[in-house]
Amino acid sequence: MPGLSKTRLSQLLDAALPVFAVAAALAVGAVMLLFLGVSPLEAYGALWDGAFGNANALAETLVKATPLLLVGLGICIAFRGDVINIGGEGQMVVGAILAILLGLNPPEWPGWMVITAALLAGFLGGAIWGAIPGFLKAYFGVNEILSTIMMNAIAVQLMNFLLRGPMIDPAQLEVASKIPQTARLADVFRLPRLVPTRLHLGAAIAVVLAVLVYILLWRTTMGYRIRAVGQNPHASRYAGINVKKNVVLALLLSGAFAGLAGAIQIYGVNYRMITDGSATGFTGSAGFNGIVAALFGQLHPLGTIPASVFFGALLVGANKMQRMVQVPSALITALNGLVVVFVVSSEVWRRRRQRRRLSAAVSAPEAADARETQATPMDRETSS
Amino acid sequence: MDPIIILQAGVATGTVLLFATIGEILTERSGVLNLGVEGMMLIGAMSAFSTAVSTGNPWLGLLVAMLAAGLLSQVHAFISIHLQADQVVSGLALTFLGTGISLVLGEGLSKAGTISLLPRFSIPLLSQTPLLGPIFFTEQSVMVYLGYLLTPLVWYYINRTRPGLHLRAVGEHPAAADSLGISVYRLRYFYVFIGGVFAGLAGGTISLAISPGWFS
Repeated sequence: MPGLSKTRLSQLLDAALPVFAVAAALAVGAVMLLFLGVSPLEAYGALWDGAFGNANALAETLVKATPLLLVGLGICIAFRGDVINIGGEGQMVVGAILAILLGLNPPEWPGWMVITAALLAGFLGGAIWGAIPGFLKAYFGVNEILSTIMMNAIAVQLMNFLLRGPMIDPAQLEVASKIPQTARLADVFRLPRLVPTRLHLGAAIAVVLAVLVYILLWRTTMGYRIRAVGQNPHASRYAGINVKKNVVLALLLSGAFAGLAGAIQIYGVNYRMITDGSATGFTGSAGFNGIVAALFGQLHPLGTIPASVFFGALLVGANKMQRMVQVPSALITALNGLVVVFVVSSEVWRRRRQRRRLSAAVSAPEAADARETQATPMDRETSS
Repeated sequence: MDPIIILQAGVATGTVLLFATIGEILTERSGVLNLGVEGMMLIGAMSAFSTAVSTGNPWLGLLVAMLAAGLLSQVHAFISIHLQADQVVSGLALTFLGTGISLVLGEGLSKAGTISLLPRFSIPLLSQTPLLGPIFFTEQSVMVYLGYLLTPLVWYYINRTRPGLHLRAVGEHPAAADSLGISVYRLRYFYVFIGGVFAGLAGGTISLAISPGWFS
């Protein structure tokens, strides 16, 4: 059947869209590099080498990808439920604070139990920080975009306060510099490393969780409800689904994964918390970059795995690029932005083809009507 | 520290947010949410400073900042208006893009040395007012006073003029505005641009008046 193969082809095209988006972003990036007087081939070569060149580089890439994947998993859940979570930064910070509190005041447990409990504490911290905007949205109609951003600011100041005051490393109190950081975690409370590099168990945990999130979203009633509410809250309400509860749940789970990312960052990489006054100092913007990774992975938990590795590679490779060809590593931030610009833009073609597939299924005049009604200017605003 | 000095500095720093807010209000009233304000402000701050360094004229720097940020905003305008893609995501992309570009192009600017800043002065009579005078009208940057003027003007524009009515119509009920012959797309592009221009003004105000300089 030629019709069917055409549908198949257009679905394949959909799946390949992110690849085109990256190609386009790299092309624009190449133009920028030429303007800076650098050979793009040399720069991208250094980028590749820095990200995948040897075992250490690859391990660093995966270490960077881990928080992106975890935050991205949360983003998949939130966006599938049609709530937007820009609070990943704050949720990571709160998760990390709770996790390290446990590790610095450990109960009389064996190491692995403390680590497990700490990761759960991180999960819980992020869940609380995500549930608050969720609750505000569900019951008071507060725009979650704004409230999650504001919750970031609150979390950062909470961290700055705690790390300068109650949680400061006792050793720092004795010296004049008073660097705002906590004490170091004891060796037994660190996530084990997988191979003789900095790669730690957290990366494996993140991949396992990606599969679990996939199962949650597409193979359980809970996930079905979240997605149903995301696609059509009115229909869901008539079907007897508690819309408010699921809005809270989507943001809560989304925050929880970001909180876990924060906890794993502490127990797998930093072993202590230190602040430079901003959230970025601790998170490395993973709370934002995770959104990018999830979108790049088409809001699919399994797609988010390669997407996180890709962005992790960009971040790690950028340092090598800076050393080899003297391009500021901030270029990668711009490149990130470009990738998102093209990914978002390419959605249009996907939608257009989807509509064409639909109109092929429905009778012709009806489809034309549908297209007409969709052509009115967007009004995606929330009530203001 | 003297509370008067803190409040005085607060007014100056707040002016930056004020400009950015005014711009975002105009954009949002037209029905577009632009979360890329941060990126546009950084582009503004960087291009204002670099223009002021190379030409020695801070006013020209301010102008370039407004244009540069306005241009960047058109990326978001195209994605959210023409392609009707997700505005939140596109705004986020703009933040990344603006931050990255300004850091790359601003590399080395931090060692550029001193520049002539926008003037500061006191308002003759008002600065004599007890309490309010020293906080609001003494030795503030010209941009602070511009902020005082712009705020009521923009309010008047939005609520009491015909173009302002069109702006609100496009934002609140695009279909109605469209049937009255107002071009929804054109106005939205325009106000996203204006939002960018104000964000650029805010960025330029940072690097040329409030906390002069550029730090990568």
